[in-house]
Amino acid sequence: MRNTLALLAVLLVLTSAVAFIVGYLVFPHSRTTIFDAAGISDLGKGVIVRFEVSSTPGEGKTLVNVANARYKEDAEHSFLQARAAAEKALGSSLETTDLTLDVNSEQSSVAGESAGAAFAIAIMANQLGRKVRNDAVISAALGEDGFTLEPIGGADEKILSAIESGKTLFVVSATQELRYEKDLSKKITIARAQNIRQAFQLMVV
Amino acid sequence: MRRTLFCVLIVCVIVAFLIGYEAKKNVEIVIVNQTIAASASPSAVPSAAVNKEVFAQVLLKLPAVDREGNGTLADLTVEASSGSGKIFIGFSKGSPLLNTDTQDSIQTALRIARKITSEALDDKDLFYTITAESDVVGGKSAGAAVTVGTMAVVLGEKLKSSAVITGTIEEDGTIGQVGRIFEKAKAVKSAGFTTFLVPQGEAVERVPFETCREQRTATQVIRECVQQFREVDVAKETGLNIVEVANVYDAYALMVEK
Repeated sequence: MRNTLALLAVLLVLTSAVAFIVGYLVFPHSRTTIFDAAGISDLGKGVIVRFEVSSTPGEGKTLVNVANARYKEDAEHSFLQARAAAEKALGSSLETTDLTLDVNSEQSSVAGESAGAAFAIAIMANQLGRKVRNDAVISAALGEDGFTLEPIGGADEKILSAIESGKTLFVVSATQELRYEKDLSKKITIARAQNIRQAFQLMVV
Repeated sequence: MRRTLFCVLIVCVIVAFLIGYEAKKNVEIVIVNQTIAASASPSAVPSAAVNKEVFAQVLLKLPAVDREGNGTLADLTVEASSGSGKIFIGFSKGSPLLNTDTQDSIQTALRIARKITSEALDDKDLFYTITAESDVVGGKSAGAAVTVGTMAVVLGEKLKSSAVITGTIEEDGTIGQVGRIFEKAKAVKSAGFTTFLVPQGEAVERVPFETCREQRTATQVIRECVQQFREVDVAKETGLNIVEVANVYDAYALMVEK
């Protein structure tokens, strides 16, 4: 009887130790999504800029890497807004997730709100473990409600730069006006999305 | 009996799993808290570093002037973790967005820190967070403080909790003038600090004031105001130890704990 109890105690300790190690190892690590966004250069030309969004278990911090680029306040605000929009669309809080934003292109300055939708989609894809299409670009601002997509400036130039970069899909807001839509759509598929959920369906694999 | 034992075993396994999961999550928090407790900061703030081993943290007070023109103090946290040469600025609803002037100051601070340590700092990530009343933190007046904070974090040294600094930072380490020293000094004094490091030539400040005269007529009152200036010896007026510093190397020597 005593031997059986001792055996049971050893078994209990061993299985608990294994469970502890498994628990320690399965703690989620950081996830990164790389995606392209369209911008306008100082010379007024459209450019494709590569970004990287990473999420790590943490305390709900929002950070941008300024080692290679300067972020104007509207771009910082846009990333904060994207975080809130992603939370809303996912229906879950990111209180325990730290988010970082990095520019992977040689871009000296990140400005404007036109990457808002792209940021939100990258955050959502990261959370869901999905991949953003590398042949697609979205350029749209997030509305005040954090859900609707708003039009942006320089859309035609941005679409042209996407064509030059070999992209096959360009997503804009439903209300976006395009001067050369007919000509541009011969070379790339231009899709319109009313809100972030529709855009997510188009942009994610 | 057998069923009871089995249930105990299952419960133990689940509890052990959860403890293991939480233990991993808390490893970084413990490290961060230990660093905060060991830092020379007058008060502790949450870490900005992203779930990495923070090996140094410094908290500095940034003297500023609010929209009403009154002196105020913001909190600057500088942290270093193992990494790959990234420089993160943190912001949230509680901490303001940092404008490009402040981002430039951070870059200058890093170049100076690299020069001092002869290190590329490629194996470290640095994190800067400012907590203030305003939505956006602008201007270059935080440059000297950002540089002192960066130097302390990179060199792994502690800063005195009694001193505060204001001034811009230039490439060669010179500290440039910022203005509104008297207002900032009042905020520094009321927060309990004893020493205020200011740029050269700013220990005495020309402070504007208005003198107004009223003329009453039968139907109205005419008020005429003239702006004048008076010279204020900031040390005398506030009781603070005001020290003029020419460059960030002198400033650091005065602020570091020996």
